[in-house]
Amino acid sequence: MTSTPPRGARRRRPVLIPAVAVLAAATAGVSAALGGLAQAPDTSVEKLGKGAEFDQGKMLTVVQDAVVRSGGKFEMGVPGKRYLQIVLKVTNETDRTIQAQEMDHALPTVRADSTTIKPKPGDLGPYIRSISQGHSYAQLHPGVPTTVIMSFELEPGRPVPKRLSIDLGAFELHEDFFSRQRAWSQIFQDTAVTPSPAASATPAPSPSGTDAPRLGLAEPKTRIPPVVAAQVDLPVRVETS
Amino acid sequence: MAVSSDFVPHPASASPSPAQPPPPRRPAWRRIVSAVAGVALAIGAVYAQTFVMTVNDKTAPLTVSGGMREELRTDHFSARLERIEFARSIRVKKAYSTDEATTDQIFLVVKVGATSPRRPTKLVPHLVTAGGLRFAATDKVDENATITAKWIQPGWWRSGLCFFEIPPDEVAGARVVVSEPVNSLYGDQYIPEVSMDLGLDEAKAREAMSAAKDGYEVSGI
Amino acid sequence: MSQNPNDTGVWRPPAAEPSWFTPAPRLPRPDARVWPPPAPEQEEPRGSSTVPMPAVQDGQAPGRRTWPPPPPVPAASPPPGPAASPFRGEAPAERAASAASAPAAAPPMSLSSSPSAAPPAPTAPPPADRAASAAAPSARRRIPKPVKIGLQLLGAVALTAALLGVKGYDELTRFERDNPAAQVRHVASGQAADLADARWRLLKIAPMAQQPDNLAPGTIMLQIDLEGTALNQDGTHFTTTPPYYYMGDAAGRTWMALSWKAPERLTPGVPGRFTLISSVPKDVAGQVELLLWPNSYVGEREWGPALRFAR
Repeated sequence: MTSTPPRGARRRRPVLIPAVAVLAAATAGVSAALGGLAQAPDTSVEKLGKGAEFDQGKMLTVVQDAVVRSGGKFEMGVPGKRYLQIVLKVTNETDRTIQAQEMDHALPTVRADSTTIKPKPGDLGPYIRSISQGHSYAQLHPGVPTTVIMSFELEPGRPVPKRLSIDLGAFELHEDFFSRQRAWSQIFQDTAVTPSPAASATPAPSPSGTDAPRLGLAEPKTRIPPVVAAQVDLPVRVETS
Repeated sequence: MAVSSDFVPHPASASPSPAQPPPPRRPAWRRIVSAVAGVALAIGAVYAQTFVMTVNDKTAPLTVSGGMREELRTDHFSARLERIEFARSIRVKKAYSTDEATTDQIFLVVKVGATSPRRPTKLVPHLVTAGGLRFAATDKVDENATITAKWIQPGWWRSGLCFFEIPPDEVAGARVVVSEPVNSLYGDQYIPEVSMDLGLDEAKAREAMSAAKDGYEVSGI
Repeated sequence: MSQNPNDTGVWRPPAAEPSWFTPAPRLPRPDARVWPPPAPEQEEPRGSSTVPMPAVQDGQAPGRRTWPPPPPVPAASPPPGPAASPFRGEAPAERAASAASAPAAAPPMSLSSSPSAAPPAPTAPPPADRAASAAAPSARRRIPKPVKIGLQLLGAVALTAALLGVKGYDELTRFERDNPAAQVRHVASGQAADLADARWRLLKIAPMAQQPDNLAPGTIMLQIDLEGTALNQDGTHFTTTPPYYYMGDAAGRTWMALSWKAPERLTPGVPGRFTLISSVPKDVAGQVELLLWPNSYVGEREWGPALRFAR
């Protein structure tokens, strides 16, 4: 049976849940207004010189030298042609053997005297090998400092560049959302970039016709650029032998 | 009793049901016991979570471990470790040329024998050091000279060599793991593997490395 | 306040007629007071919870306009569960009493007769009513507790089995769709059979005349001669993409058979000679049979149709 509450008694309204809800909404609103909870991107780019060591996460890289020489040394290249070779000392910091070709992603951009030689539309990219005992191989074993040479072919008529500016990327051990497995992956910037056709100075086609075959990549494509964690500036020397 | 409301229940039946006596209050000891039981169950539930496998455990291959010359059997193949040697340089005699591989570290040459119960398979070795680093077989030696190129078939044991280039410090406590090649695009992702302990501690490793050969020859490829 | 069945006194009815986006008037909360309705002169706040409490017997009872008892509900719909409120405990007692008082008659709908029946009912020997009420519900379909628990357990086990069964069936059908089962057709000795736009016939299996030096001990190298005839233009690709061969014994073990000689070109209708070599253990050399798959992709995985030639 019902009974009337005694006169004057104050009913206790349940206020805890609405109060907590209002607090949570206020917190979310203030956080969003102030920029959200995402970590502010680390926009500092370290400027390094020749011989400086940099930790890219996946590997420890020392840019030792930039040299122009004719092919054939270390079993790289054809003796008649000239190659611009970047000599690196790389220590693989992961727990398993990786290929030397992975340095292609580790050095996303290479500029020679303000001309971008990597990545170059229509070009397959540099030839990257790990050097040991005068021969070229393809493996980078974990924990073992190895010399890696990144070799760019120089067209016959082109003058030798004076300085090189190399961008170094960064890697992180990224946990996949679905499989929850961790794998080393490169850190990319948040926004995509479409380079204008004028900015990417593609050199004039070589008259000798010995270029790498054009893959139909002449137009610059919209891509998501990788984060540049360091920039190495070093002079190029010419090796005549 | 004449009361204004005939539908007010009889005072004697004020309890939950007219026919039952009021239930007795639970004694204090019972409440304590049930509280302790509840806490114990909660502890057990949290402890059971420690048995949940991590993603790495779930996707890890089934490993059969053993030592030197032990026959290790899996469903897809059986393998055994036959011989361990060290070398400072390796010479591979091919049909029309000879490859020379040298190192400033050390080459580990492992002879592995294998057979298969039902189907022909191929095997791929890698080295796992005591620190958990995985070294793939070195590409300084042509793959055709290693066990990777040989078909392992049922009915007989076939031996092949594995070559690893490792720093001398990582030799102690290392083991050689042999498994079938797994392609992430197709085929069975969960395959068994055989882990063979080389049985080298610090002293034995140093002793074996000091006897390292120069110009280890591999032929017949 | 008139007895409006839609107005429970607890929930406000929706502004519009109930439609798909406005809910229909709902049943009141279990502890809401629906009977007797609040007294009109008292400002009872809507939605107030009620607690069963005994009436004040000799104090000043609040003025209440009492309502006649509701018409007795037919015995076909008894109230569920043990009586949790004295009110409920009274209703079956009332109904039992009224059913006892007017057993054969239709449930009396007249209000005049029931007030006379009602007052004696609560004051009439309550133990009889309580006993009747206690006995009556259990006589009507009341599942005993152990049976109920047993049914629940059985239901849980059955549902778990059904869930696992459905999941397993789903995974199995997906696996079978992705990995087609091997369909091996047995070909009688000397006969030909069609596979992948070509007709195949086994000619001969014999140990090789010249055994190589580096054979593993206990094995022998066999030479297998196979005749393949392309049936149409599609079947002439076997010169460039040869079929996949196994030697299989009766126990199900298989060995690699590698192509040694293949015809340079295949024209439809013209038979071509394929020669294979295979190392097998000596003890099965007499009984291994040739297994033919259309290409290496399905052969490595053993998917789809294949031929097995009897010797």
